[in-house]
Amino acid sequence: MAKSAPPADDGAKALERWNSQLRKGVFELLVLGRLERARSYGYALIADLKRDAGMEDIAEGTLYPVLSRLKSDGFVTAEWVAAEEGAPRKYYAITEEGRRALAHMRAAWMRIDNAVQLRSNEE
Amino acid sequence: MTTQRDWGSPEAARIAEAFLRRLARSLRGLDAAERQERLREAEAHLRDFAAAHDGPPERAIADGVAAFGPLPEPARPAATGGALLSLIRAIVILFIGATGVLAAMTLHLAVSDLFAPDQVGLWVYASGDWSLSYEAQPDAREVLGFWFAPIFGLGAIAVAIALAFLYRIAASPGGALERALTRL
Repeated sequence: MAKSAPPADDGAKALERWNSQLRKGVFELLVLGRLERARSYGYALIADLKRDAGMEDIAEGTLYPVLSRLKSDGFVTAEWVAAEEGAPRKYYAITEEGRRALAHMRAAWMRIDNAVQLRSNEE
Repeated sequence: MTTQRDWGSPEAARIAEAFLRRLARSLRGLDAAERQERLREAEAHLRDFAAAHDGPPERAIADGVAAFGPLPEPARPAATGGALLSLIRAIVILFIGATGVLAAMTLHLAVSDLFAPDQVGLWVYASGDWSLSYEAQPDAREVLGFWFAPIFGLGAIAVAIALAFLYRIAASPGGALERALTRL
């Protein structure tokens, strides 16, 4: 019996799942990259990522477990800072260990990117 | 706890506080300090979101809650830890129930002693045997006198407090035992 092509809906779902997994994979890299530029707090970080990294539809709450993990890994530090207006904010700053991890992540990302580019050029 | 003025309107406060309660439940697998930290940070996030969005505060808070996304499922102990937790909880609850009945009887004796001090007491017989009784015992003397009610009353209250503490750490959802087994 001949195999039929999957329905278009299934293809769209598969791509959506792939996109989601890709973003999960690079999320820590993006957060550390943003913190490398300057220390920041949760809302500002997620607003930047939404704007700059094509993550408009990401659930904002997903950032906090990642920040907590980065902190327990020693890649970032955190401190509460009183705001001029409004409630205090918890600011995150990258550590030296975090910078080293970021460099490693970037190198890994570049290898993947090179492989993707090479394959595209061959085609 | 936050006040409605903090959130801009009573409705905004209701939405925000309901969200923070749900978040607290979903984070119950974390230890208390980490949970408090995450709640405080989520609250700061919601306030920043509302400050960055125009419109009525309740709309901004509702949008902020929606943008925060689905809350994580509360962490559950692994299968082995879950079975162990259920067993320990069952034993602890049985112990609390049995000891609680004894504490309640002790408290009842103490209160009864206030109304019938000549009848209720710790009675010691000439043979050296003793009994706790609501009635004066022939050939026995009551040995605690005035101190019967305070000793038994305070003893019952102390036991009740200890049982409440035991329940909190070993049998309550999100208690120390559940958190410890969740981390296994």
